[in-house]
Amino acid sequence: MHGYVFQFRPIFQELPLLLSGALVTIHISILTLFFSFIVGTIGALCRLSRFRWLNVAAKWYVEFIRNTPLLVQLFFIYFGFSQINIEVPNYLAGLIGLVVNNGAYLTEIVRAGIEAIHKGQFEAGLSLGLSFPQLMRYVVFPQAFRVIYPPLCNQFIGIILWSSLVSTIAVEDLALRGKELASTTFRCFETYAVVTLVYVVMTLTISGVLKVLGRRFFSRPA
Amino acid sequence: MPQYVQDSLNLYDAVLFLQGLGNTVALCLIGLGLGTLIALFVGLARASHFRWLSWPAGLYIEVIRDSPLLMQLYLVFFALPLLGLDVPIFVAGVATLMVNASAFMAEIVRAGIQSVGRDQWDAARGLGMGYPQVMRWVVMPQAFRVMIPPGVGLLIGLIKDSSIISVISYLELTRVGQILTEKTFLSFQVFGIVAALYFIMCYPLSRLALYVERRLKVGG
Amino acid sequence: MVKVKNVNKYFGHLHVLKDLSLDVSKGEVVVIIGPSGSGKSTLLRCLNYLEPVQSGEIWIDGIRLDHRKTNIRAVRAEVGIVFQSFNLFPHLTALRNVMLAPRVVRKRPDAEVRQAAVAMLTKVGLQDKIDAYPSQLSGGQQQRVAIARALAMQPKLMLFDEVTSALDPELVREVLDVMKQLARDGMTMIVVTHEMGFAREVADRVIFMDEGRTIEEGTAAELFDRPQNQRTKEFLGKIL
Repeated sequence: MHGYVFQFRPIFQELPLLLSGALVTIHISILTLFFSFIVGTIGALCRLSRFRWLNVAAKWYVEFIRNTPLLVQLFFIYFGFSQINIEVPNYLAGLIGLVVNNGAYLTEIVRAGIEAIHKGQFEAGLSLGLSFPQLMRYVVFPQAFRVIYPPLCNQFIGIILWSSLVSTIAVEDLALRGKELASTTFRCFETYAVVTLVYVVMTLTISGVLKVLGRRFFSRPA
Repeated sequence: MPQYVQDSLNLYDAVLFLQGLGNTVALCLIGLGLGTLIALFVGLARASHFRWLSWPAGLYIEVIRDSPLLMQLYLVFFALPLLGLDVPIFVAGVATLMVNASAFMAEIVRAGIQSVGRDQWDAARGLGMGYPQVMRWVVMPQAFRVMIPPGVGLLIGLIKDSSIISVISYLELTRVGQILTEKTFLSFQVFGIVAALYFIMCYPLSRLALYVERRLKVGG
Repeated sequence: MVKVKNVNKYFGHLHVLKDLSLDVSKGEVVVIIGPSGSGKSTLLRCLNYLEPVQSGEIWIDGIRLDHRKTNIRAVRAEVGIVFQSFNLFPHLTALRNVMLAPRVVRKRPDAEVRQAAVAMLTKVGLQDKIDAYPSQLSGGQQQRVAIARALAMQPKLMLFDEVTSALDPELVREVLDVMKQLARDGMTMIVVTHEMGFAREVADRVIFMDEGRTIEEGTAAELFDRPQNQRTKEFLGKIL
């Protein structure tokens, strides 16, 4: 390392640029979480359904996503769109890829949450005359959500970190801004060190906040 | 120079797929092997009662777990020349996977060590064994059984993670997919095959992990 | 009120209810006793279609249960059931547990439902515990909330599935007292229980079931003091 002096100043001067990327990372992550939760809930209900074909279809969806890399899924969707000549903004392609990916993991998380509920709860609800949607809304989901919350938070952190891959399909998130900055300043190591720091700070802050929120909303008098 | 665009996949491409597959396997096995070696030390440190050991180990693990793999790849890739090491990209790739795996494996090692009950320690110490001996003959063999299912899970994760090494243009499986897609524009077919190959590598491993986990529960 | 005709139920290959028939009139209190595995609980659960039957007919208040056109939810709203494991909704207070179904199924306005719920909880002696969560209540209290919850739907028929079996002995009495009052008020009840004292006091009829069939029936005095059937005698000999 003779003669190499670390220079962080040029990086910190461009902090607003990096932060604008961080903002994109955050909103694509939040949108991903929202839509994946919907996909995951549908998937979980399919997995728990008495219709065998729904169950099997959901099972294979989950297995396929879990055993193939996110990057390949992103490329499949992104380059796939251009193969069939549909123009999709990069952001949307990235979002779709992230949602399809996380939807599988959320299917398992939501399913575990529902299965954690004692069978008697379903029986009590049904015997009072509740319909299936009412049962889900008033009895099952309030209880399932308690179980779902911690793994859901972990999944969200994962989404934030793995969303960095959308930089490979030219979405202007934190990772891509970092890459741009590195190529303009030629200070590659310093740039990526700072970008990594921003990711770590984002992750730790968000996970801390989620933990506090969890404690506030989920402690019932014992 | 005229761009040659292929309109279908051919046998030469099959060879490329196999090359990518082989390189992926090489990346993962070496990365996992070296990473596990490091993880043994880091994991032991993390499980240690000495603050000055467990704290830095904890920091190492947390930073790696809370940062994107893509960033870790860039950092390793650009740090190596700064350290005076002019290495082929394969080494940069392996180093990244090694560092990443070591953090996750360290947690698995720690959990494995801590899963061995206190009474095992008491019994071994009571027989006059010193710390290294207890570790070698009593704790680690038992911890090892517990580490296998999550360890296999880690390998599966590593195989998927290795796709990121395509970013530094190393010819692993995903990079092959990119190259062939550029050449043929047949994204669905190319990445379909790529995905299928990853699936063939990972799915049996995930069944194996389930099987081992079940066997371990029964054995007790 | 309740007509069970030649019902057969299987769990897979296990023949749980064998050609069973049973009639219960309005206002009658019927107690069912028998060894475990005799199908008593299964029979109860068939009566509100928590379990389907493979053959035979079940009629509740003139409505046939397994008919295509039957609105099962409507029938279930008229049949109350109390379970051995209470099955209270842990995320709701006692009051909200009782309020939920009338509000959501019968779509009554909030204020009316609340008033009725408080009245119901008072009836079972828990007026001081309306804002307590199930985890803060004793087993006996939870079971009484469960009874109030079922009663809040103003059912025509109440089913009790071994509701005191999971309770500590000192808590059993408070639940049985509520059930006795219900019987005196004229509710049609089918009670599966081991509590013989309860049966003697309020049952109009006691039925002994074994291996999926009704073996013998009669008034409490007849069945307990002068059992005719050999198996009935054996069973009573074991528990009395």
